[in-house]
Amino acid sequence: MADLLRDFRILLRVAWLTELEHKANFFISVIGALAFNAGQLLFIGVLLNAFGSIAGWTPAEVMVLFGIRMASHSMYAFFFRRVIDVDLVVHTGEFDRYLLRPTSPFLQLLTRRFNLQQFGDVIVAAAILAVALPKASITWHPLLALWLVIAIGAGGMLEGALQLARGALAFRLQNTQSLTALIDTVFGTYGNFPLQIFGTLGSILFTVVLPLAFVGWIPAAIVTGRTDSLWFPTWLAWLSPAVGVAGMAAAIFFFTRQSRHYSSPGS
Amino acid sequence: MIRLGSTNALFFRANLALSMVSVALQTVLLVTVWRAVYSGHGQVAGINEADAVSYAVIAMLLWHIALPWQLSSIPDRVREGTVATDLIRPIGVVGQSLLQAVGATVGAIPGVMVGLAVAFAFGGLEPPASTGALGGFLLTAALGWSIAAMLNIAVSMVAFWTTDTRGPFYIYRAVASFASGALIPLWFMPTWLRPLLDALPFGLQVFAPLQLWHGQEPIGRLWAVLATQLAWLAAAAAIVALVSWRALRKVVINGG
Repeated sequence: MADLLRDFRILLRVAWLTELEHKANFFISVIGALAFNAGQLLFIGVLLNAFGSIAGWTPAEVMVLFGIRMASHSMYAFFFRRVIDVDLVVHTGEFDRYLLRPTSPFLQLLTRRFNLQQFGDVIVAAAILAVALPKASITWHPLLALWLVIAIGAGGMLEGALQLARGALAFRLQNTQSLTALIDTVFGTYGNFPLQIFGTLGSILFTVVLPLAFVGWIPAAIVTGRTDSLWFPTWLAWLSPAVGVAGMAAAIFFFTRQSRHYSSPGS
Repeated sequence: MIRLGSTNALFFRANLALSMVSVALQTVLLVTVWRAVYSGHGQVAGINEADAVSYAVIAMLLWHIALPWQLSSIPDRVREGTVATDLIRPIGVVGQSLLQAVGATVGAIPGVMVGLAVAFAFGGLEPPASTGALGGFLLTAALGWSIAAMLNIAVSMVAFWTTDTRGPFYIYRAVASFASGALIPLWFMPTWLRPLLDALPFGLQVFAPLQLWHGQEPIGRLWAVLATQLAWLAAAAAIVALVSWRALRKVVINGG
């Protein structure tokens, strides 16, 4: 484990230095991410402006949900974003190199490039939470704050786990680009809504089958005290971060198993 | 070239199947979200629920064609150095990219069909207001697509200057998606934002054709839309010509 952490640090440093070589690019990337997130913010903002509330949640509560989702997305972007590159790594045979080096291929995949855009994500997430949290009537407790931090981390792991499992399919299916786009769109667009608007069946689907609930809805319901909107008991909601951690562990296992099906393009 | 573009899109069967499932799922989600948002409201900004749902579905499908995940093959080809081969072909880089875009659109048709079928099954599709409205929609949607294709190429040529194209692409994608009315119909935008959005070419790609579909614009104003679209198409073509003229002086061929 200590070895892995050291390797991760070294690889991250290399990737970071590579990106910083082009300073202007750094700024353009951050602005790009800001624009992208601002687009989603405007989407929700215009809806709230035109309709007043969404599925019984006040604008402040919806914005808390949005901020939490954005924060867990930036955790995902920081640590796991490169898992979307599995297709490319398999097509070009870059994976050959990973197999030859003396550290985990998964780690090398994560650090093949440093994602600068997450700074834009982090800025937006922090700004939204800073504005929305005081506006929603929340009874704070140190443990609640701690739980929220853990839930945000676990939400990032869950999004990463889905994309990683998707990426692992590329070893056999070769091209899974549209699935990447689908996960991105579904999380980016529908993860921002209080999921009870999809009805009971929809919210069950989004908890069990396509687990959107864990990146925004459940944590926001706990923090704002709107657990009445959930379809399951509140004590289960408190345990929800475990799903993200378990999901990531399972996805890494699946990735390692699928990578045995790798056939080098031989170049 | 058109065939290459569509074969490209259709080559990976698994990806094609996934993209159809993806469009179907997004259609269901869109219909549900808009219905839920509307529950308890009769009309918002003068638009009723059925129109808003139908708008959202068709706008998503139009956008699916006009702004593909990959703007053009130029960035990849510049990075790999294969753009050298493109440059010596008799048809020119822009021509090739345009034809590939046509091909990619042909390749996206199965997905669009699935989306329309799913929306229809869920009762989320309103027919066009009249035959004239349908004609106006088709005409303006085609012109809107051409503007989008031109702008996509212009933006993707950023690759001639910078290797990492993600930043500029994100900005373009975000602005275009929002201003076109693909995410939210421009009806719902705050009034102070409308003049700015109307001054951009993106509304002509999605919002204007859909207004015609819903019989919103008196048919006489069709000519105004068409004239603006043609003007923007000419402007976009001029931008592409200018950018490609500059780009070809700048081009670095990677690889040996």
